[in-house]
Amino acid sequence: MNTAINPLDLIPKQDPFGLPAPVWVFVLLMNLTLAVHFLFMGYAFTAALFDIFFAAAAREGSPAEWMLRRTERPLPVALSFAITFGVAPLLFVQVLYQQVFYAANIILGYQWIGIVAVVIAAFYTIYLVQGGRLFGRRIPRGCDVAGRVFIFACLLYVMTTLTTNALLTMHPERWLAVRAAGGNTFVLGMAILAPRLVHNALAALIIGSLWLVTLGLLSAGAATADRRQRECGRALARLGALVGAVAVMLQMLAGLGLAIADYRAVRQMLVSLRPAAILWAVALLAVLALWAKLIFLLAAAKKSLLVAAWGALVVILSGMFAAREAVRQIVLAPYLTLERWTVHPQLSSLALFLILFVAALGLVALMLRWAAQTPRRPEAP
Amino acid sequence: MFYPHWDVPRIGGGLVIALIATVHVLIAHFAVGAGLFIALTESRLARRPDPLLRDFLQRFGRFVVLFSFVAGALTGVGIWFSIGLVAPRATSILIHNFVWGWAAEWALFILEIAAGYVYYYNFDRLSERRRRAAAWIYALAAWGSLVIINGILTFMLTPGRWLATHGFWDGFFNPTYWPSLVLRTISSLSLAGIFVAIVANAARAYSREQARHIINHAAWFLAPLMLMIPAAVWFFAEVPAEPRRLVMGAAIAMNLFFMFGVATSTLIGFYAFIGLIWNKRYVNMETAILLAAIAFIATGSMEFVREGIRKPYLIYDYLYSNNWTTEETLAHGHESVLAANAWVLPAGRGAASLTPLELGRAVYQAQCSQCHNLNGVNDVKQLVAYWDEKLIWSNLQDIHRLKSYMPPLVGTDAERRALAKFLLSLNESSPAGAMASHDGLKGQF
Repeated sequence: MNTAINPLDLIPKQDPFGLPAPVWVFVLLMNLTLAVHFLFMGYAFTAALFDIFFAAAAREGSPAEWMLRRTERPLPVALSFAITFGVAPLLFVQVLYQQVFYAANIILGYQWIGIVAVVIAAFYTIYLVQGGRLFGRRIPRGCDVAGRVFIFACLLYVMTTLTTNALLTMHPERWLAVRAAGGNTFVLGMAILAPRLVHNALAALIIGSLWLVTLGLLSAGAATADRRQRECGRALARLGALVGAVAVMLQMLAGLGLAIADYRAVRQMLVSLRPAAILWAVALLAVLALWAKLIFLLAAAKKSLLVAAWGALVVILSGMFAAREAVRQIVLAPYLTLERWTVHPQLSSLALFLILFVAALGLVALMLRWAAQTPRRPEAP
Repeated sequence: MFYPHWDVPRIGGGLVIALIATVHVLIAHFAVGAGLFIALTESRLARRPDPLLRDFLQRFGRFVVLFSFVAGALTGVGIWFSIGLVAPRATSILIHNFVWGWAAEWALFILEIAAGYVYYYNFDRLSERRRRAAAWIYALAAWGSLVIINGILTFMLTPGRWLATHGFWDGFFNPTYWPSLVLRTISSLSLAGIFVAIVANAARAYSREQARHIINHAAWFLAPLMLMIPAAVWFFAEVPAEPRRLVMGAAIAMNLFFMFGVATSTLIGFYAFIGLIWNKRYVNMETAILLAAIAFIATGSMEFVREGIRKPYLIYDYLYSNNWTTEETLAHGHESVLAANAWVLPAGRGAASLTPLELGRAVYQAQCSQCHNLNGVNDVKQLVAYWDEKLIWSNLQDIHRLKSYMPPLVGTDAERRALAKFLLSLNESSPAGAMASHDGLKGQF
């Protein structure tokens, strides 16, 4: 291992073609799409985790079976959109942080490209175990649970790899050590990796819990809901609120741990009073608001509380991503700065993207409206 | 501009890209063709109701969702991941020039997936009109994504006026853009037709006559394959002279793969027209799978040709496959290739402290390992087998003139000689090789 090398010597040069739009455009798009990715990924992660326990506890006609069928159904769509909205932030991060991003990917090597195979395996396993039947036959409970454990393990692998990659891009001084260890994630050091990984996992759990509350309330309030559906729906909502509230409390501790791990950067962000620091402070208040909403939802499942909880979550995600980006730029400042990018605007191609993006969102909204207007079937089972 | 090297023993990173890309192209083209098949069939059902075709569309929609939304989407991500690992500099150039193109394609992916799910999950509940609209939205979004990615793919072989202007649209609408779009659309339609035959046969609910009805309806999608030859002629009329020369005989592998791809595509097209459209024959499952396998091999062949004829470049006339631009090679080709490349130096040592063999190995890793392996695919050991140092040295000096698909060698005189010595040390069968490897590196390769 070449510890004598200056990390600056390892960082490739900035791409001479520069940026086709100002830095702030890419920072905004990167974080916006990442936030949407988190929304879908949060559901996939949480549902995959909960379904393990639902599958283990499910008996014919039990609430656990109802919850299993209810939560597994959106899983393929959620994962599909998590992947689609995960592509965009990866695209934009390559534009801004090309020098450190590709190097981090290569250092991780097989672990990085392994994401593709792992997600394919998880996705098809979701389809295999869905409904509890395979080729018309009931799947034995042990196999069902094992399948769902596998799905969750795959998603955890992806989360760990993406977190590691993000950290490697921020710490060029660790590159050679990790490369010498054959891309071994844990050589990064648990002091760096663990706080961020726990933070990301809890964030996914909180988002997913909010989705479960939403699913539960929608099911309970559906026009075609029978008594069982109403009871199970409310139970699912309460379970989501409980898990979410606990996760938020744990997240407060995990967030503190992460702030300590990145202490210097966080302090610099706060001292410099960047807009990110203000957004982050507002986000911290929103965390308390979210926690309170979840506690109230435990007691009374009201749609107004749910809407307020989602509103708080949006504020939290905005502040947290702003802070995350600020911390990344501070940590990377000795190696590269975004201000060094030259900008050569490509207005017409940017316009093409924006037009297609807005049109796509509009058509998606239209089609979702069509789907919502179709006659509803009673929810199975 | 040096990145670490991603070492994939035996097969090399290039083959990783090729394997993932071939699978992805097959599935992605199918997704495009399937969208057009579904949309056109829905429109036909509006004029001529056909309960059997309607039932089939629901099954086929499920197949599209299971096949292309999972494996297709993720192998696309896989290509992206793998090119970043194998050729990060080229990837960076593409990203910084065409990011808005990729972003536009991504917007169409969102639309494609949403439309696909709305269509499939609400098949029985949407009105006929709305279902048809969702199908067309999916079809046009899918084809739109092909329209966009085609620009970036063809740019790599024929950058056209971009070389002078570095303009987005100059690079996008490059010389091979339109013929490639025609070729890929033909391929997409034909793959949809083939997979219809598979799905129709796989559905146990259908009798032989019912399956034949569906397959004969889809056979029209295979007919455009008859246009493969004129489309290929158009394509190759637009590629630079040297790649065309490689295909036409200068590189036998390119020639054979190209002939195979064109021949099989054309044969399937004529089979479709005469057998399925004219004579309305039935295609059983085994034949359908055979057609799909041939299509897969033909797709792989043509993609291999497309990639291979671009050598020695990653971006034609701009970036060589050793990650040096043409300008850099001209201006600095005789300067050190290791000076700014800390990644290839052994632990804790500078270039000055290396033995000649170690220096040669570092030069090999910096330039040659992008495409060559030791003991594997494109094995450099086999290429220099039984050569002595003089022969190796003279080849290296003019490698780009001797073999048009090789980039010029970069490096100082000492580095080039060290590379020659290293290559000689791989050559165990010669006394010269045995002597050269005496430094203790023998047997490590």
